[in-house]
Amino acid sequence: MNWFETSDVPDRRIGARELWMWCLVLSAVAFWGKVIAASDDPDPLLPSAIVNSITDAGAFTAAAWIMVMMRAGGVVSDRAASTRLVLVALGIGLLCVVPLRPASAIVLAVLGGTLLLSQQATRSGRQAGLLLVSLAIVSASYILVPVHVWVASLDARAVAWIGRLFGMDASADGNVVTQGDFALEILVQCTSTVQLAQVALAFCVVVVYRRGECRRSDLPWLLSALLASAVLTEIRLTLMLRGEADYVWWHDGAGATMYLLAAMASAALFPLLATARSATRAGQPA
Amino acid sequence: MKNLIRLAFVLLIALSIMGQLHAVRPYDADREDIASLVAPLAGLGLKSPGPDADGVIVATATDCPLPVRIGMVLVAGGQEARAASLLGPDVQPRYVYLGMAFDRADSWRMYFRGLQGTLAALIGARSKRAPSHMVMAALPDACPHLADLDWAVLSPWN
Repeated sequence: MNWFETSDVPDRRIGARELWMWCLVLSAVAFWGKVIAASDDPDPLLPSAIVNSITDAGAFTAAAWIMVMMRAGGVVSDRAASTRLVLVALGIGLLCVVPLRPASAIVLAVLGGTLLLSQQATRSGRQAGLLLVSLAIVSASYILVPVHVWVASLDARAVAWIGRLFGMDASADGNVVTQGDFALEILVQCTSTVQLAQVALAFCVVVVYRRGECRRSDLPWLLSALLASAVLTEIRLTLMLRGEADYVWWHDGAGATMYLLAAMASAALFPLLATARSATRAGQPA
Repeated sequence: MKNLIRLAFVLLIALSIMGQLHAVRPYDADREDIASLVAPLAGLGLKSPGPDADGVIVATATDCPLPVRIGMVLVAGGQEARAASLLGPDVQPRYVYLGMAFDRADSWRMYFRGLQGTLAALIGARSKRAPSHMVMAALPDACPHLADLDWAVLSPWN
C-alpha cells in the first residue's frame, strides 16, 4: 500500500516530489543554522564566521549536502501527495524549528530512513536517503557526549600505555595523562570516537559519488576506515604527551594541519579502495 | 490548499532561521556574568575593582600578598590559551561550575552537573539554562589557606 502518494498527477494537490523538496530545503536550513549557532566565533553571524562554521563542519558534510540538494528534485515519482504525507512533512517541518541538535538528528534520520525504505523512492532518492542517514549519525554523534567523555578516559589509558611502550614515564588518571611534569587533559572534541561519524559520512559520500550505492561487502572497508581514524588520534595524542613544545605543535601548529590532512586522506582512501575493488570485479569477464 | 502548504513551509523556514539566531551563544563569557563575581568574592574576603578589559578579575585578600586571578572559560573546552594565561606558574587552580568547586576540570562531573542543570531548567525548577562557561580561579601557592575557602559560591545554583 502506498501511504505517501496518490495515483493522481499533481494539479490541485501538491506533488509528493515538491513536498520532499520543501522538507529537504527546510532540513538543510535547520542543519546549517544549528552549525552556525554552535560556532565558537566571538560573532557567529559575521560572513567570515559563517564561512568558518561551514568549513569547520567538514568538507564531507558540505559535499553530502550538495549531493542531497542535487538529487532533491527527483527523490520520488511525480505523483500527488497523500494527506498523510502532507501531515508528516509538516510534522517534520515543525521538528526542524526546534533549535536543539537532537531535533536535527531525528529529522535527518526520519527523512533518510523514509527515502531508503520507501518503494516509491527513485535511485536518486535512495542515494539522498543514505547521505541523510549518514548526516543524522554525524548530528547524533555531537550529542553523544557521555560516550565521548567515557572514551576520553579510555584514550588516556591507551595513550599512557603507548607512551610507556616508547619509554615515557606516563600514567593516566581519568581523562588526564601525565608524563613527568607535563599533563594532558583529553577533552571531548579530542577523543578517538568524536571523528568516527565524520569518517562514516566521508565513506558514504565517496561511495555514493563513485558507485551510486553502498553494499554489504563495503562493511570491512568502513570498519578499517574507522579503526584507522582511531589509531591516528591515539598517535597524535601520544605525540602531544612528549612535552609543552610538542603539545603546541600537534595541537595548534603545523602538526594539527598535518593530522587533519592525514585523517582526511585516510577517510577518503578506504572508500576509494572499496569502490576500486568492485569496479575491477565488474570489469572481469563472467 | 497547495499554496497554503507552500506558505506553511516558507513560514517554517523563517521560524527555523529565527530560532537559530536566538540560540547563538557567545564564545566569550558575558561581561556582566564576570562582573557578577565581585560580590561573592567580597563574601570570601577578597577585594576587586571588577573585570579588566580581558574579562579577568584580579582580587586581593588581606592575608595574602599575591593576587588571585579569576576568569571564565567554556566548559566544553576550546579556550585552552585563555585558561593557560589565567593559570601561570606557582598557582593551584579551582574550577567552579553550577555550585561545585573542582581541583581539576573534571569533564565527567561537570557534564553531569550541566545535564542536571539543563533538566532543571527544562522542568522549570530553574529559571536559567546551565551556563556554557565555568569560573576558573588561580590561587597562589604561597597562600595555601585560600584553597580552604568555599569557592563554590562563585557559581550560580550553589
